[in-house]
Amino acid sequence: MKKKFWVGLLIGLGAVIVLLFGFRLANELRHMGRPPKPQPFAIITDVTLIRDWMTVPYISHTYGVPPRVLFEALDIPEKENHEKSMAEIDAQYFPGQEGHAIQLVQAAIQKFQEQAPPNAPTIPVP
Amino acid sequence: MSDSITDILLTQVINHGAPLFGLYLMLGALGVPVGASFILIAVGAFSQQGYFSWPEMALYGLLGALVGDALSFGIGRFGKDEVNRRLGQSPAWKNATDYFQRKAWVAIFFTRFLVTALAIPTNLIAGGSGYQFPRFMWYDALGETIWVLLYGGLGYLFGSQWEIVSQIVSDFGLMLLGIVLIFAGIRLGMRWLGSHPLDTEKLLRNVQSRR
Repeated sequence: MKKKFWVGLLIGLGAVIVLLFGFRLANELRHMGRPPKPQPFAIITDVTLIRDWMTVPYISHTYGVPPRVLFEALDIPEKENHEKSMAEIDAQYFPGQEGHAIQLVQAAIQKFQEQAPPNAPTIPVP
Repeated sequence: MSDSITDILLTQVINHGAPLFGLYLMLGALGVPVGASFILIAVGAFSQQGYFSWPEMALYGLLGALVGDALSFGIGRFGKDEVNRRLGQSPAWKNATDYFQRKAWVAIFFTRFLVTALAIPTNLIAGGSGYQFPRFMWYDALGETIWVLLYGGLGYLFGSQWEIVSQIVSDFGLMLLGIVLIFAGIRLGMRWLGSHPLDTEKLLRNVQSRR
């Protein structure tokens, strides 16, 4: 009886997990595009990909925009904010305005890339 | 793992690079929920963007994972005496350890990169069952190398789409876990049937007597 219970539990639990994650997986694969052609060190232009965890030096490198331009757009000192994420900058400099730092950075990148198209060499890692 | 913790971990990785990445993978191998596979895929994408050097990250990541696995094996070995005192006389435990000794390489190798949810229990069981440490590390190193190259490579290949890839990989791993559970259930059921074969004659007699 005890063994029957374990057999049933293992198979039942396994089936639930397979169905749950299998459907999710199928759905994700349907919505996912083909892998982009690998372009090492390619500069990204889609500013909607900027996330809360990103730091200014990382964004600067990825989007090929000098960090100075981004710090100026945020209007914050460069020195002590080098390692802060967008969320931390929001909390410290723009309290109550969630996502404001990202918006400022997005606008600055778009402006910079309009003036200098992203074919220029990448910004070195600091 | 909550999004905010993941965000903090990612920020720290881009700030401190390879040594912290290695530390995260070591903690992941010890069972700390740092989302090691997620971070590994992310680091692959960051390397594709030229932010990190991928050979350096792969080396630190691999070292971290191996140290973590060796430590969790050690935890299992440390608890061996206690487990033996409690379960050592049980035939079920003896059967389980014998079976593990015969098939351990399959479990060690495939739980590194395929059914990663079972990696830590496997390390603990390997340590606790007295499996040879050098052999454990050999299969562990093979599996972890595949894990680092495969997951990091997916991040590298898909670049800015790494978040979706990470979700897909996670769901695929969990789906495989479900398949493993189903197979374990079927195997247990078949063993049970094997030790209790159907007595067809008795069954026929019962049917005839009812008629």
